[in-house]
Amino acid sequence: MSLHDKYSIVGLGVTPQGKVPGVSANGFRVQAIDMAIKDAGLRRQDVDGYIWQSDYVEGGGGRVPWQVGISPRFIWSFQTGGATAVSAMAAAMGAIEAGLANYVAVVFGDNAASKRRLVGAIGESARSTTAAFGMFGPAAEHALAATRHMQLYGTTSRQLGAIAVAARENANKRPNAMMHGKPMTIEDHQNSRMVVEPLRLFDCCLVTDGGIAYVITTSERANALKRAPIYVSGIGTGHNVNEAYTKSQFTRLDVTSSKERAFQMAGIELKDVDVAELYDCFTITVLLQLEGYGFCNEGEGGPFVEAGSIGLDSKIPVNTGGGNLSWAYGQGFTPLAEAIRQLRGEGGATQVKNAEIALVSGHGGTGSGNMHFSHATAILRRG
Amino acid sequence: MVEEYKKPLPEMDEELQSFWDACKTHELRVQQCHTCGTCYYPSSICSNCDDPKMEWVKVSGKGKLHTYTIFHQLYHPAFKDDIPYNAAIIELDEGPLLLSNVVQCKNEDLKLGMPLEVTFEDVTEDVTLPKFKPV
Repeated sequence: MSLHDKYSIVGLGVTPQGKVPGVSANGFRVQAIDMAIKDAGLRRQDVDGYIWQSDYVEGGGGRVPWQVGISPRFIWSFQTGGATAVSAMAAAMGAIEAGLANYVAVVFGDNAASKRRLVGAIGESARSTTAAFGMFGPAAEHALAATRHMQLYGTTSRQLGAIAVAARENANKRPNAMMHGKPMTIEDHQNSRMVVEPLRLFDCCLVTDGGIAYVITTSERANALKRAPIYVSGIGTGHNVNEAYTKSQFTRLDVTSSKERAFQMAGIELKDVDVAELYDCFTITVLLQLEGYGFCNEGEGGPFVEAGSIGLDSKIPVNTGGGNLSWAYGQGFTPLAEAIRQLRGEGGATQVKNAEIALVSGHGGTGSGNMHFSHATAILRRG
Repeated sequence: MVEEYKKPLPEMDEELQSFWDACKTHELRVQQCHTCGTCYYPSSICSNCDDPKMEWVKVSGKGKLHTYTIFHQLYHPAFKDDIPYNAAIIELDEGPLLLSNVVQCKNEDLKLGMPLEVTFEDVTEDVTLPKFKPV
Protein backbone atom coordinates (compact mmCIF):
# COMPACT_ATOMS: atom_id res chain seq x y z
CA MET A 1 0.00 0.00 0.00
CA SER A 2 3.05 2.29 0.14
CA LEU A 3 2.99 5.15 -2.32
CA HIS A 4 6.78 5.09 -2.58
CA ASP A 5 7.73 6.43 -6.05
CA LYS A 6 4.16 5.93 -7.25
CA TYR A 7 3.63 9.61 -7.96
CA SER A 8 5.76 12.07 -9.92
CA ILE A 9 6.01 15.77 -10.50
CA VAL A 10 5.96 16.29 -14.24
CA GLY A 11 5.77 20.04 -14.70
CA LEU A 12 7.05 23.14 -12.94
CA GLY A 13 6.10 26.73 -13.67
CA VAL A 14 7.94 29.66 -12.11
CA THR A 15 6.91 33.16 -13.15
CA PRO A 16 9.21 36.17 -12.84
CA GLN A 17 9.67 36.85 -9.12
CA GLY A 18 10.46 40.01 -7.23
CA LYS A 19 8.95 43.42 -7.67
CA VAL A 20 6.65 42.73 -10.63
CA PRO A 21 3.87 45.33 -10.57
CA GLY A 22 0.76 45.21 -12.70
CA VAL A 23 -0.08 41.54 -12.08
CA SER A 24 -2.60 40.35 -9.52
CA ALA A 25 -2.16 37.24 -7.37
CA ASN A 26 -4.56 35.45 -9.72
CA GLY A 27 -2.60 36.70 -12.68
CA PHE A 28 0.50 35.02 -11.27
CA ARG A 29 -1.44 31.81 -10.63
CA VAL A 30 -2.64 31.75 -14.22
CA GLN A 31 0.87 32.32 -15.58
CA ALA A 32 2.42 29.72 -13.31
CA ILE A 33 -0.08 26.98 -14.19
CA ASP A 34 0.21 27.71 -17.88
CA MET A 35 4.00 27.40 -17.62
CA ALA A 36 3.79 24.19 -15.58
CA ILE A 37 1.44 22.54 -18.07
CA LYS A 38 3.71 23.46 -20.99
CA ASP A 39 6.74 22.29 -19.04
CA ALA A 40 5.07 18.91 -18.59
CA GLY A 41 4.31 18.65 -22.27
CA LEU A 42 0.62 18.34 -21.48
CA ARG A 43 -2.39 20.10 -22.94
CA ARG A 44 -4.58 22.21 -20.69
CA GLN A 45 -7.46 19.74 -21.18
CA ASP A 46 -5.36 17.07 -19.47
CA VAL A 47 -5.36 18.84 -16.12
CA ASP A 48 -8.43 17.68 -14.23
CA GLY A 49 -7.62 18.57 -10.62
CA TYR A 50 -6.72 21.94 -9.08
CA ILE A 51 -5.49 23.02 -5.67
CA TRP A 52 -4.53 26.60 -4.90
CA GLN A 53 -2.91 28.07 -1.83
CA SER A 54 -5.44 30.54 -0.52
CA ASP A 55 -3.91 33.72 0.74
CA TYR A 56 -4.34 35.81 3.81
CA VAL A 57 -6.09 38.76 2.28
CA GLU A 58 -7.34 38.24 -1.23
CA GLY A 59 -9.73 35.50 -2.27
CA GLY A 60 -10.75 34.29 -5.66
CA GLY A 61 -8.04 31.78 -6.60
CA GLY A 62 -10.98 29.51 -7.36
CA ARG A 63 -11.56 31.61 -10.50
CA VAL A 64 -8.17 30.67 -11.90
CA PRO A 65 -9.13 27.40 -13.65
CA TRP A 66 -11.62 29.37 -15.79
CA GLN A 67 -8.99 32.04 -16.46
CA VAL A 68 -6.34 29.57 -17.55
CA GLY A 69 -8.72 27.27 -19.43
CA ILE A 70 -8.50 24.01 -17.50
CA SER A 71 -11.40 21.74 -16.53
CA PRO A 72 -10.79 20.34 -13.07
CA ARG A 73 -13.18 18.00 -11.31
CA PHE A 74 -12.26 19.67 -8.06
CA ILE A 75 -11.13 23.15 -7.08
CA TRP A 76 -9.71 23.08 -3.58
CA SER A 77 -8.24 25.94 -1.59
CA PHE A 78 -5.53 24.92 0.79
CA GLN A 79 -3.89 27.01 3.45
CA THR A 80 -1.18 25.86 5.74
CA GLY A 81 1.33 28.60 5.09
CA GLY A 82 4.71 27.40 3.95
CA ALA A 83 3.63 23.79 4.45
CA THR A 84 1.01 24.10 1.71
CA ALA A 85 3.21 23.13 -1.25
CA VAL A 86 4.08 19.71 0.20
CA SER A 87 0.82 19.12 2.08
CA ALA A 88 -1.22 19.83 -1.05
CA MET A 89 1.04 17.36 -2.85
CA ALA A 90 -0.15 14.68 -0.42
CA ALA A 91 -3.75 15.74 -0.98
CA ALA A 92 -3.25 15.60 -4.76
CA MET A 93 -1.75 12.12 -4.49
CA GLY A 94 -4.70 11.01 -2.41
CA ALA A 95 -7.14 12.49 -4.90
CA ILE A 96 -5.51 10.76 -7.84
CA GLU A 97 -5.27 7.54 -5.82
CA ALA A 98 -9.01 7.80 -5.18
CA GLY A 99 -9.66 8.17 -8.88
CA LEU A 100 -10.81 11.80 -8.74
CA ALA A 101 -8.35 13.06 -11.32
CA ASN A 102 -5.35 12.12 -13.48
CA TYR A 103 -3.25 15.28 -13.44
CA VAL A 104 -3.44 17.77 -10.61
CA ALA A 105 -2.12 21.33 -10.79
CA VAL A 106 -1.08 22.91 -7.49
CA VAL A 107 -0.43 26.65 -7.47
CA PHE A 108 0.80 29.61 -5.42
CA GLY A 109 0.58 33.26 -6.42
CA ASP A 110 0.92 36.56 -4.60
CA ASN A 111 1.71 40.20 -5.18
CA ALA A 112 2.70 41.13 -1.65
CA ALA A 113 5.64 43.27 -2.78
CA SER A 114 3.57 45.50 -5.05
CA LYS A 115 0.81 45.63 -2.47
CA ARG A 116 3.39 46.66 0.18
CA ARG A 117 1.80 44.37 2.67
CA LEU A 118 3.22 44.36 6.23
CA VAL A 119 2.70 40.73 7.16
CA GLY A 120 1.06 40.50 10.55
CA ALA A 121 -0.48 43.96 10.69
CA ILE A 122 -4.23 44.03 11.28
CA GLY A 123 -6.95 46.58 10.64
CA GLU A 124 -6.80 49.40 13.15
CA SER A 125 -10.17 48.61 14.68
CA ALA A 126 -9.89 44.83 14.51
CA ARG A 127 -10.15 42.73 17.68
CA SER A 128 -7.42 40.23 18.38
CA THR A 129 -6.33 38.55 21.58
CA THR A 130 -2.70 38.43 20.49
CA ALA A 131 -2.69 41.99 19.18
CA ALA A 132 -4.16 43.17 22.50
CA PHE A 133 -0.70 42.42 23.92
CA GLY A 134 1.09 43.95 20.97
CA MET A 135 1.86 40.59 19.41
CA PHE A 136 1.76 40.77 15.60
CA GLY A 137 2.94 38.54 12.83
CA PRO A 138 4.96 35.40 12.19
CA ALA A 139 8.30 37.16 12.68
CA ALA A 140 7.51 37.85 16.32
CA GLU A 141 6.29 34.31 16.81
CA HIS A 142 9.54 32.92 15.50
CA ALA A 143 11.45 35.47 17.55
CA LEU A 144 9.93 33.83 20.65
CA ALA A 145 11.59 30.58 19.53
CA ALA A 146 14.85 32.39 18.72
CA THR A 147 15.05 34.01 22.17
CA ARG A 148 14.53 30.66 23.80
CA HIS A 149 17.16 28.97 21.65
CA MET A 150 19.67 31.68 22.45
CA GLN A 151 19.13 31.55 26.20
CA LEU A 152 18.91 27.75 26.43
CA TYR A 153 21.82 26.92 24.12
CA GLY A 154 23.89 30.07 23.71
CA THR A 155 22.99 30.49 20.04
CA THR A 156 24.04 33.91 18.79
CA SER A 157 22.68 36.41 16.31
CA ARG A 158 25.88 36.00 14.29
CA GLN A 159 25.11 32.29 13.97
CA LEU A 160 21.66 33.10 12.62
CA GLY A 161 23.50 35.47 10.32
CA ALA A 162 25.52 32.54 8.98
CA ILE A 163 22.27 31.08 7.66
CA ALA A 164 21.31 34.35 5.99
CA VAL A 165 24.79 34.72 4.49
CA ALA A 166 24.83 31.15 3.16
CA ALA A 167 21.50 31.76 1.44
CA ARG A 168 22.73 35.04 -0.01
CA GLU A 169 25.90 33.42 -1.33
CA ASN A 170 23.79 30.94 -3.27
CA ALA A 171 21.46 33.63 -4.54
CA ASN A 172 24.42 35.65 -5.76
CA LYS A 173 25.29 32.81 -8.12
CA ARG A 174 21.79 32.55 -9.57
CA PRO A 175 20.89 35.41 -11.93
CA ASN A 176 17.13 35.20 -11.40
CA ALA A 177 17.31 35.40 -7.60
CA MET A 178 15.82 38.58 -6.13
CA MET A 179 18.96 39.26 -4.15
CA HIS A 180 21.37 38.45 -6.97
CA GLY A 181 24.08 41.06 -7.11
CA LYS A 182 23.55 42.05 -3.47
CA PRO A 183 26.25 40.34 -1.42
CA MET A 184 25.86 40.05 2.35
CA THR A 185 28.44 39.58 5.05
CA ILE A 186 27.85 38.69 8.69
CA GLU A 187 28.59 42.33 9.51
CA ASP A 188 25.88 43.43 7.06
CA HIS A 189 23.51 41.07 8.84
CA GLN A 190 24.47 42.48 12.22
CA ASN A 191 24.01 46.03 10.96
CA SER A 192 20.54 45.34 9.57
CA ARG A 193 17.82 46.84 11.71
CA MET A 194 16.22 44.91 14.54
CA VAL A 195 12.61 43.98 13.69
CA VAL A 196 11.45 41.78 16.55
CA GLU A 197 14.41 41.07 18.76
CA PRO A 198 16.43 38.97 18.31
CA LEU A 199 15.41 38.80 14.65
CA ARG A 200 16.88 41.43 12.37
CA LEU A 201 15.74 42.43 8.90
CA PHE A 202 18.18 39.99 7.31
CA ASP A 203 16.80 37.16 9.45
CA CYS A 204 13.48 37.58 7.66
CA CYS A 205 12.31 36.28 4.31
CA LEU A 206 11.69 38.51 1.32
CA VAL A 207 8.35 39.92 0.25
CA THR A 208 7.70 39.04 -3.38
CA ASP A 209 5.39 39.20 -6.34
CA GLY A 210 5.26 35.96 -8.27
CA GLY A 211 3.68 32.58 -8.86
CA ILE A 212 4.85 28.97 -8.80
CA ALA A 213 2.92 25.88 -9.86
CA TYR A 214 3.54 22.20 -10.39
CA VAL A 215 1.65 19.35 -12.01
CA ILE A 216 1.60 15.92 -10.38
CA THR A 217 0.42 12.58 -11.71
CA THR A 218 1.17 8.87 -11.39
CA SER A 219 4.71 7.81 -12.24
CA GLU A 220 3.22 5.45 -14.80
CA ARG A 221 1.76 8.39 -16.72
CA ALA A 222 4.87 10.46 -16.06
CA ASN A 223 7.06 7.92 -17.81
CA ALA A 224 5.14 8.53 -21.03
CA LEU A 225 5.94 12.26 -21.01
CA LYS A 226 9.00 13.94 -22.52
CA ARG A 227 10.83 14.97 -19.33
CA ALA A 228 12.28 12.58 -16.79
CA PRO A 229 9.86 12.37 -13.85
CA ILE A 230 10.64 13.69 -10.39
CA TYR A 231 9.50 10.85 -8.15
CA VAL A 232 7.80 11.55 -4.87
CA SER A 233 9.68 8.89 -2.93
CA GLY A 234 8.26 9.75 0.44
CA ILE A 235 5.96 12.28 2.04
CA GLY A 236 4.96 13.09 5.59
CA THR A 237 3.39 15.73 7.79
CA GLY A 238 3.57 16.86 11.37
CA HIS A 239 2.12 19.62 13.52
CA ASN A 240 3.52 21.60 16.40
CA VAL A 241 0.42 21.04 18.48
CA ASN A 242 2.26 17.83 19.34
CA GLU A 243 5.08 19.85 20.92
CA ALA A 244 2.57 22.02 22.77
CA TYR A 245 1.46 19.10 24.94
CA THR A 246 4.91 19.15 26.54
CA LYS A 247 5.24 22.94 26.36
CA SER A 248 7.99 22.55 23.77
CA GLN A 249 6.40 24.46 20.91
CA PHE A 250 8.90 27.28 21.29
CA THR A 251 11.79 24.82 21.35
CA ARG A 252 10.99 22.39 18.50
CA LEU A 253 8.93 22.18 15.29
CA ASP A 254 7.56 18.57 15.39
CA VAL A 255 9.80 17.65 12.49
CA THR A 256 10.00 14.14 13.94
CA SER A 257 6.50 12.94 12.92
CA SER A 258 6.88 14.38 9.45
CA LYS A 259 10.39 13.03 8.89
CA GLU A 260 9.55 9.54 10.10
CA ARG A 261 6.71 9.04 7.60
CA ALA A 262 8.57 10.56 4.68
CA PHE A 263 11.85 8.76 5.26
CA GLN A 264 10.13 5.46 5.90
CA MET A 265 8.12 5.72 2.70
CA ALA A 266 11.23 6.69 0.78
CA GLY A 267 13.30 3.96 2.39
CA ILE A 268 16.20 6.34 3.04
CA GLU A 269 18.39 7.56 5.87
CA LEU A 270 19.61 11.08 6.48
CA LYS A 271 22.95 10.36 4.83
CA ASP A 272 21.16 9.61 1.55
CA VAL A 273 19.95 13.18 1.22
CA ASP A 274 22.07 15.02 -1.34
CA VAL A 275 20.44 18.42 -1.01
CA ALA A 276 18.10 19.92 1.59
CA GLU A 277 15.63 22.64 0.63
CA LEU A 278 14.36 23.69 4.03
CA TYR A 279 11.53 26.15 4.47
CA ASP A 280 13.11 29.43 5.52
CA CYS A 281 10.61 32.09 6.53
CA PHE A 282 13.26 33.11 9.08
CA THR A 283 16.82 32.04 9.82
CA ILE A 284 15.74 30.44 13.10
CA THR A 285 13.30 28.23 11.17
CA VAL A 286 16.18 26.73 9.21
CA LEU A 287 18.22 26.21 12.36
CA LEU A 288 15.38 24.40 14.16
CA GLN A 289 14.92 22.14 11.15
CA LEU A 290 18.62 21.30 10.90
CA GLU A 291 18.28 20.06 14.48
CA GLY A 292 14.88 18.47 13.96
CA TYR A 293 15.95 16.46 10.91
CA GLY A 294 19.08 15.36 12.72
CA PHE A 295 21.72 17.07 10.61
CA CYS A 296 23.08 18.20 13.98
CA ASN A 297 22.10 17.62 17.58
CA GLU A 298 19.43 19.66 19.33
CA GLY A 299 20.92 22.89 20.61
CA GLU A 300 23.95 22.66 18.33
CA GLY A 301 22.46 24.36 15.26
CA GLY A 302 24.40 27.57 15.94
CA PRO A 303 27.93 26.11 15.84
CA PHE A 304 26.82 23.81 12.98
CA VAL A 305 25.96 26.66 10.64
CA GLU A 306 28.84 28.80 11.88
CA ALA A 307 31.23 26.07 10.79
CA GLY A 308 29.91 26.39 7.22
CA SER A 309 28.11 23.04 7.29
CA ILE A 310 25.28 24.15 5.01
CA GLY A 311 27.36 25.60 2.17
CA LEU A 312 27.41 24.16 -1.35
CA ASP A 313 30.46 21.97 -0.89
CA SER A 314 29.84 21.07 2.72
CA LYS A 315 28.12 18.42 4.82
CA ILE A 316 24.66 19.24 3.52
CA PRO A 317 23.96 21.87 0.86
CA VAL A 318 20.93 23.82 2.05
CA ASN A 319 18.68 26.19 0.11
CA THR A 320 20.87 26.11 -2.92
CA GLY A 321 18.93 28.79 -4.81
CA GLY A 322 18.89 31.24 -1.91
CA GLY A 323 15.50 30.26 -0.55
CA ASN A 324 12.79 32.55 0.75
CA LEU A 325 15.54 34.56 2.38
CA SER A 326 17.34 35.50 -0.82
CA TRP A 327 15.83 33.90 -3.95
CA ALA A 328 12.13 34.84 -3.70
CA TYR A 329 9.21 34.38 -1.32
CA GLY A 330 7.19 31.68 -3.03
CA GLN A 331 6.60 30.28 0.43
CA GLY A 332 6.69 26.47 0.39
CA PHE A 333 6.88 26.45 -3.39
CA THR A 334 10.32 28.09 -3.25
CA PRO A 335 12.20 25.13 -1.72
CA LEU A 336 10.12 22.72 -3.84
CA ALA A 337 10.95 24.50 -7.09
CA GLU A 338 14.65 24.55 -6.25
CA ALA A 339 14.63 20.83 -5.36
CA ILE A 340 13.05 20.03 -8.73
CA ARG A 341 15.65 22.16 -10.52
CA GLN A 342 18.49 20.48 -8.65
CA LEU A 343 17.21 17.02 -9.55
CA ARG A 344 16.84 18.11 -13.18
CA GLY A 345 20.39 19.43 -13.24
CA GLU A 346 19.15 23.01 -13.68
CA GLY A 347 20.83 24.46 -10.59
CA GLY A 348 23.27 26.50 -12.66
CA ALA A 349 26.28 27.73 -10.72
CA THR A 350 24.91 26.21 -7.52
CA GLN A 351 24.15 22.78 -8.97
CA VAL A 352 24.97 20.06 -6.46
CA LYS A 353 26.86 17.36 -8.36
CA ASN A 354 24.89 14.15 -8.89
CA ALA A 355 21.96 15.37 -6.84
CA GLU A 356 19.67 12.38 -6.78
CA ILE A 357 17.69 12.71 -3.56
CA ALA A 358 16.27 15.99 -2.32
CA LEU A 359 14.63 16.74 1.02
CA VAL A 360 11.96 19.42 0.77
CA SER A 361 10.31 20.83 3.85
CA GLY A 362 7.37 23.07 4.51
CA HIS A 363 6.37 24.93 7.68
CA GLY A 364 3.59 27.34 8.45
CA GLY A 365 -0.09 27.88 8.84
CA THR A 366 -1.89 29.56 11.69
CA GLY A 367 0.62 29.81 14.48
CA SER A 368 -1.98 31.42 16.72
CA GLY A 369 0.85 33.28 18.43
CA ASN A 370 1.83 29.92 19.84
CA MET A 371 4.11 28.39 17.19
CA HIS A 372 1.27 25.99 16.30
CA PHE A 373 2.60 25.53 12.82
CA SER A 374 2.25 22.67 10.37
CA HIS A 375 5.28 20.82 9.09
CA ALA A 376 5.58 18.76 5.91
CA THR A 377 8.36 16.72 4.34
CA ALA A 378 8.79 15.42 0.82
CA ILE A 379 11.61 13.22 -0.42
CA LEU A 380 12.02 13.69 -4.15
CA ARG A 381 14.10 11.42 -6.34
CA ARG A 382 15.59 12.10 -9.75
CA GLY A 383 14.00 10.03 -12.51
CA MET B 1 -11.44 62.18 31.46
CA VAL B 2 -9.90 58.89 30.35
CA GLU B 3 -8.33 58.95 26.90
CA GLU B 4 -9.87 56.60 24.39
CA TYR B 5 -8.02 53.28 24.40
CA LYS B 6 -6.86 52.73 20.84
CA LYS B 7 -5.03 49.41 21.10
CA PRO B 8 -6.78 46.28 19.83
CA LEU B 9 -9.09 44.62 22.32
CA PRO B 10 -9.14 40.85 22.82
CA GLU B 11 -11.63 38.78 20.83
CA MET B 12 -13.32 37.43 23.95
CA ASP B 13 -14.80 34.24 22.55
CA GLU B 14 -17.80 32.92 24.43
CA GLU B 15 -15.70 29.99 25.67
CA LEU B 16 -13.29 32.37 27.39
CA GLN B 17 -15.86 34.67 28.98
CA SER B 18 -15.01 33.31 32.45
CA PHE B 19 -11.35 34.21 31.94
CA TRP B 20 -12.10 37.81 31.01
CA ASP B 21 -14.81 38.23 33.67
CA ALA B 22 -12.28 37.08 36.27
CA CYS B 23 -9.69 39.56 34.95
CA LYS B 24 -12.21 42.34 35.48
CA THR B 25 -12.31 41.41 39.18
CA HIS B 26 -8.48 41.23 39.15
CA GLU B 27 -8.44 37.49 39.43
CA LEU B 28 -6.57 35.09 37.15
CA ARG B 29 -8.52 31.95 36.27
CA VAL B 30 -7.77 29.00 34.02
CA GLN B 31 -9.53 25.72 33.37
CA GLN B 32 -8.65 22.73 35.47
CA CYS B 33 -9.54 19.09 34.98
CA HIS B 34 -10.90 17.88 38.29
CA THR B 35 -10.23 14.29 37.36
CA CYS B 36 -6.47 14.67 37.12
CA GLY B 37 -5.78 18.24 38.30
CA THR B 38 -4.05 19.46 35.12
CA CYS B 39 -4.61 23.11 34.28
CA TYR B 40 -5.20 24.42 30.76
CA TYR B 41 -5.44 27.79 29.02
CA PRO B 42 -7.11 28.74 26.74
CA SER B 43 -10.07 26.54 27.59
CA SER B 44 -9.86 23.02 26.32
CA ILE B 45 -10.71 19.47 27.19
CA CYS B 46 -8.18 17.59 29.29
CA SER B 47 -5.89 15.59 27.07
CA ASN B 48 -5.00 13.09 29.82
CA CYS B 49 -8.41 11.82 30.88
CA ASP B 50 -11.14 9.88 29.13
CA ASP B 51 -13.69 11.44 31.46
CA PRO B 52 -12.44 14.95 32.19
CA LYS B 53 -14.35 17.31 34.45
CA MET B 54 -13.32 20.83 33.45
CA GLU B 55 -13.88 23.82 35.73
CA TRP B 56 -12.59 27.36 35.94
CA VAL B 57 -10.34 27.80 38.96
CA LYS B 58 -8.47 30.74 40.43
CA VAL B 59 -4.70 30.44 40.14
CA SER B 60 -1.93 32.07 42.10
CA GLY B 61 -1.01 34.57 39.41
CA LYS B 62 2.60 33.50 39.75
CA GLY B 63 4.76 32.15 37.01
CA LYS B 64 8.06 32.50 35.24
CA LEU B 65 9.24 33.90 31.93
CA HIS B 66 9.22 31.16 29.27
CA THR B 67 10.33 33.35 26.38
CA TYR B 68 9.85 36.82 24.89
CA THR B 69 10.55 39.10 21.96
CA ILE B 70 11.04 42.85 21.76
CA PHE B 71 9.22 44.80 19.09
CA HIS B 72 11.26 47.43 17.28
CA GLN B 73 8.96 47.38 14.24
CA LEU B 74 5.63 49.14 14.58
CA TYR B 75 2.67 47.04 13.46
CA HIS B 76 -0.19 49.13 14.82
CA PRO B 77 -0.19 52.91 15.38
CA ALA B 78 -1.48 52.66 18.96
CA PHE B 79 1.80 51.07 20.05
CA LYS B 80 3.93 53.91 18.71
CA ASP B 81 4.91 55.28 22.11
CA ASP B 82 5.70 51.82 23.50
CA ILE B 83 8.39 50.89 20.95
CA PRO B 84 10.56 49.03 21.86
CA TYR B 85 8.15 46.88 23.87
CA ASN B 86 8.14 43.21 24.82
CA ALA B 87 5.62 40.45 24.14
CA ALA B 88 6.17 37.45 26.38
CA ILE B 89 5.11 33.90 27.08
CA ILE B 90 4.65 33.31 30.79
CA GLU B 91 4.58 29.81 32.22
CA LEU B 92 2.15 29.88 35.13
CA ASP B 93 3.13 27.87 38.22
CA GLU B 94 0.00 25.81 37.60
CA GLY B 95 1.21 24.88 34.14
CA PRO B 96 -0.38 26.78 31.22
CA LEU B 97 1.58 29.12 28.95
CA LEU B 98 0.07 32.57 28.61
CA LEU B 99 0.82 35.35 26.10
CA SER B 100 1.14 38.75 27.75
CA ASN B 101 3.63 41.55 28.44
CA VAL B 102 6.18 41.95 31.20
CA VAL B 103 5.73 45.38 32.75
CA GLN B 104 7.69 47.38 35.32
CA CYS B 105 10.85 45.87 33.93
CA LYS B 106 13.48 47.15 31.52
CA ASN B 107 13.69 45.07 28.35
CA GLU B 108 17.41 44.50 29.02
CA ASP B 109 16.55 42.89 32.36
CA LEU B 110 14.29 40.22 30.89
CA LYS B 111 15.70 36.76 31.48
CA LEU B 112 14.26 33.30 30.87
CA GLY B 113 13.06 31.73 34.10
CA MET B 114 12.67 34.99 36.00
CA PRO B 115 9.81 34.82 38.53
CA LEU B 116 6.76 36.94 37.66
CA GLU B 117 3.37 37.69 39.09
CA VAL B 118 0.19 38.96 37.50
CA THR B 119 -0.88 42.58 37.59
CA PHE B 120 -4.09 43.80 36.02
CA GLU B 121 -4.58 46.75 33.66
CA ASP B 122 -8.10 48.12 33.36
CA VAL B 123 -7.82 49.37 29.81
CA THR B 124 -11.49 50.12 29.20
CA GLU B 125 -14.70 49.99 31.24
CA ASP B 126 -15.30 46.45 30.02
CA VAL B 127 -11.83 45.05 29.48
CA THR B 128 -9.04 44.26 31.90
CA LEU B 129 -5.79 42.78 30.61
CA PRO B 130 -3.56 40.52 32.73
CA LYS B 131 0.07 41.62 32.55
CA PHE B 132 3.05 40.35 34.53
CA LYS B 133 5.65 42.09 36.66
CA PRO B 134 8.85 40.85 38.27
CA VAL B 135 8.41 39.46 41.76
